[in-house]
Amino acid sequence: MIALEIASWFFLIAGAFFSIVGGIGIIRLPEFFSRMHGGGITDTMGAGLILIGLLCLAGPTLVAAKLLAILFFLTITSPSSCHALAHSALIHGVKPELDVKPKPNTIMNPPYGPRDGDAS
Amino acid sequence: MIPCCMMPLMFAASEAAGHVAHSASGRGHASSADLHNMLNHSAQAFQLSATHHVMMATSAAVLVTMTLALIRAMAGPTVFDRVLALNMFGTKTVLFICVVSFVTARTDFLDLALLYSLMNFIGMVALLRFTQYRSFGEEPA
Repeated sequence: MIALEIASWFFLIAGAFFSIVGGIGIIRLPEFFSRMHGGGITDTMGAGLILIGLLCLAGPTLVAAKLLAILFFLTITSPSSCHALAHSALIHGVKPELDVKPKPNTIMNPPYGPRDGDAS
Repeated sequence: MIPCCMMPLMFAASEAAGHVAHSASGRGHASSADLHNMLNHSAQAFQLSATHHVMMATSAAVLVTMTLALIRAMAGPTVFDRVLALNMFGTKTVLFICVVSFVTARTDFLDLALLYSLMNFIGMVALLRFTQYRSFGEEPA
């Protein structure tokens, strides 16, 4: 029981760490397709580790079955929605830019102007 | 960390309030002395373990990530950045509901988390279809 709780602490803290890393990535990365990598980190490592940590706390009950169902649906829907998003962005003409250097003092302003598929 | 620590105390206090109101004989409402006793009793009965602290730290980290995703959703230059950030926000909401349901020992919230994950996926596919075809219809325009 104590071993399961310590394992759950490890999984929860690791999941929280990867979640914050993905959040920083979605803010700091320079262009759209690299920002999808930050979103993918939170969808796989963050959600997976936090749900596994809660599974260690739940024990073999109905709660564990619900957590496994949530984990299953997240692992199915997250890559498919990511694929649909990347496909839609490529159709709208958002090209991956290689070797972009972020401007030193502009965190939120990426180093390219408005393109096709812009909201405004 | 103090308001985060107060959250399970509030839930325990609400359950204790139902108990006191049920057992208060004759009076319609609990007096302030009753409320004071009830709060003391619930604070003694509810002891925060290390697992609770870890789960509250995790929920705080998930909230920080939700804030960062909202910043990107407001500032993203293209509509796809906003869609990506909103998808991430929905996933983090599912995680937050799961962790808070374990903190407050109300695991029936997990049904809401399951429903929210499915709704998030359907909403995102609908939004992408709208940005691709400019309509929600079956045939592309």
